[in-house]
Amino acid sequence: MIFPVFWVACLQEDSISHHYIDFKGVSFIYPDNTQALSDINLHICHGESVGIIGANGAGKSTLLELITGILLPQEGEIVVGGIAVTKKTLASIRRHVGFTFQNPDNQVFMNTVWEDVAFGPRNYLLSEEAVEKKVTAALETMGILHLKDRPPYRLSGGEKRSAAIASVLALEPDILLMDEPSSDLDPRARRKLIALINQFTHTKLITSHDLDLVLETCKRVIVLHKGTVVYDGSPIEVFKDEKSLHTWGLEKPLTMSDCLVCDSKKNRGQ
Amino acid sequence: MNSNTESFLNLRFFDDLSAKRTFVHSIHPLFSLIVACLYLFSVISVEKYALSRLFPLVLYPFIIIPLAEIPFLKLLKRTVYVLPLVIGIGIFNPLFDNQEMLIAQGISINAGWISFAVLVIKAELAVLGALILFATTGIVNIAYALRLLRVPRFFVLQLLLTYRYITLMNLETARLLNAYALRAPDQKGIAMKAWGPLAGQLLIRTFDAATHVYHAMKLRGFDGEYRSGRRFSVSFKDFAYAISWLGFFILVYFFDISGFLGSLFTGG
Amino acid sequence: MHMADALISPVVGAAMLASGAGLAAYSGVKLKNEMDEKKIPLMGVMGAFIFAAQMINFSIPATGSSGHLGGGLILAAILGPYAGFLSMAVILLIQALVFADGGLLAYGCNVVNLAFFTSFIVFPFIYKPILGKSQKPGRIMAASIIGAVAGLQMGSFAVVLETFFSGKTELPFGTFLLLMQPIHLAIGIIEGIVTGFILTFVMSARPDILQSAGESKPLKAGSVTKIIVSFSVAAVIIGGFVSWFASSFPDGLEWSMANTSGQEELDSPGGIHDSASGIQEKTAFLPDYGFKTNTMNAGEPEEPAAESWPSPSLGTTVSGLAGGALVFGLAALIALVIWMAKRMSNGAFDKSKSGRS
Repeated sequence: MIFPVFWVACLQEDSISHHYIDFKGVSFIYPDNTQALSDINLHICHGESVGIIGANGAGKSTLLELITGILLPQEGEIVVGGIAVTKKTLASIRRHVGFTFQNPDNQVFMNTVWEDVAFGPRNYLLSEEAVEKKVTAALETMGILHLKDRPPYRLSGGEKRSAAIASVLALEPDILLMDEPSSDLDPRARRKLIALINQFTHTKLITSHDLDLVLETCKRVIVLHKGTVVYDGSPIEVFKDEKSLHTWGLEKPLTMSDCLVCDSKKNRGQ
Repeated sequence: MNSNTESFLNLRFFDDLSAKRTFVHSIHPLFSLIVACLYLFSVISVEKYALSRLFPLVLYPFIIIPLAEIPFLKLLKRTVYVLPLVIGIGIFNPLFDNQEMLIAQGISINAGWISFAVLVIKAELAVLGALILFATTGIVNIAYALRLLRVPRFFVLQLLLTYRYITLMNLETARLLNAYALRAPDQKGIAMKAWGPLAGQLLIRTFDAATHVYHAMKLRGFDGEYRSGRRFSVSFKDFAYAISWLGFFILVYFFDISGFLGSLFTGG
Repeated sequence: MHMADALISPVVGAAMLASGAGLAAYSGVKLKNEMDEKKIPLMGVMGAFIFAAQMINFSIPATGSSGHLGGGLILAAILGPYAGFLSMAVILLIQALVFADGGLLAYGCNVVNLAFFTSFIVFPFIYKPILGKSQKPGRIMAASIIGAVAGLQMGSFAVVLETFFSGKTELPFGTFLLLMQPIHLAIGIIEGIVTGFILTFVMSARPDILQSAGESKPLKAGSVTKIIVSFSVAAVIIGGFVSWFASSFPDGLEWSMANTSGQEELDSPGGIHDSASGIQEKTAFLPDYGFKTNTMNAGEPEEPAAESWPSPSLGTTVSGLAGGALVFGLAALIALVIWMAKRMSNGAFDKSKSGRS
């Protein structure tokens, strides 16, 4: 049942300039005494794209929030690119880490798309020309330059998500953390998002219930179950294992399921 | 519920108008703000009985509204909120001020009615002035102008954040009220036993959303200071605009245009 | 109740704006020194919450009517006095700019009436002491009701004072007071009950929210006296300055005179005079126009309005009104011409319309 936690060592091991993430015996308990994570040990390599999956309440979002320092662990240590995440190092860690929230409404907090994307670069005291360059570049990457003067409530779910990602990209992070990036997206917007994620060469951590998205964007999957890592390895392997997925409260990705319409069998696990 | 969507539509109305690109919109927001304040000052400086002195002041909205492509009737509809109060208080003028006022040989009128009319027209013009300002600048530019006036960053950031979340909270409240109404179909308003839970839930959600917003801000380098980087360059056009209006307001203040024109025609 | 631009005189407006700005600056400085950064977004989102919550109809049992949430007290209870004050000040500015509720020049009045009293008087001296340390539902309810009533009574009294000192209406001080205070007593009780229910619910469901507000220290008596003193000093200085400024203009004399004479008129002697002329009017078959005009223009040389252009208070004449209509017509014509020109210049209107939809 419990898979051995394995992962091959990173191809190029670390120098300071590399953006890896280390979890060393990390535990986190919320103030109301729910244990969200217990004794997590992980190493995420520079440039890797990792999907973090698990049922609701498994600790996915907590894991991401610990990397950004929104939450600080009671036990253990998290090291990002050679710097341990503590209250004192938050500012420098956050310059390297971009985080997109599950609900883009909380992230797009200014009154136009432009103002919102410019918020971050302005905080780093860039000149207005530099801000303009970065904002334009981020909006162009997301393909939403034409929306720059729109108020957020005039955006569709997909556009809002794009604006939220652009606001993070404008800071040129080295590590990208995305919490449920495909929630409230229509199929076409989701497709675009997958293509975009695959373009980024950053170190990426994506939590999602959308296992098809994980399958298409991540080369490594970490499964969390009740606050512990129960699987760490190749996506295909774990998605074939229906029995374990069931135990963890997960379902096989649709692209790997039997087709109900055309009767084709895809269950490569058998 | 109705007023809920109404305030949402109100914001949308102004956000759309302020996104237009007309001559009026191209004026530096600080100059627009100053002109609007001078206008309001001119309006409220008009004497209690000086009805005729108010008329020249309609020129300001009558020029700006078509120039800025503001739909006049829709804007007018949004000014009626202030009238009940002013009418309610002003209606005592004709009751308490019974002096007769001679307006021409043999024609007199109750002075209270004159001052009542002055009050109502003033209220209408003042409200129009404020709404025109917002429709031709918008929240982002108003915030920028306030920063130039040295209004503290802290206050300006609050203005922006509050404005941003009004639409969101309105939609959230509308959903909550719909959900309530669907399960209490014959009820007007919210029953007393639901007062706390309903508005309280909303407040708790508000609190949680605020926590997320805070983290989102912190992750993007927020250190408690708001930086508005938007730059408008001041040009000759802005000065010309402000000075022409200032000249007009001064003229209206010191010179009775209505009386002068009227005397030309009536020979009085 | 929101004060409107039309009801205030420039002097009152300027003095109150200065006071409001002073209070906001003071709160800003206080917050900068004491506040947890987390409150910054909380203030904004709470402000939006008040906007949304004001739209909820709380139906009052057995009356068929409904009440609304005012907001000042709940903001102070959640955010503490300084942040609560600033948050309310922002709400009032948005109401003035977007909702035509209150005016830009009356903004200072509204900040004082609706934000100052609840945050700086009611919260530290009424709400907090009644609440005490035990945050029991009964205490919360009592503190909310008494606090909301007291806040609205002070606010409505200030409305009466501001209107009275502006001298734009004939409503006698006492009558206005008798109208305002009972209405606001009823509004205050409802608002207090709604506030109490909300706070009790939040207390039981998420006590951490109210505790974080409790941390913000209530004002010490000393600092409040300081605020009140600096507030009144500011009002007096600004009021004096504006009056001096006004009277140094040729026209300003009437301006300041109108203010003082307006007050006299509303004071007791005016009352007698008014009722006397009222009786005279009723008894007289044909009122003596000449005499009446004389009393109207008392203290000013009797001249036709057109010639005496520096005195706007001369009232309104037929020629003035005819001229006014002419001016109005001209202005409307200008508006029409601009509108037509806009339409014709390669459909700028349509373009901008279709571009947005």
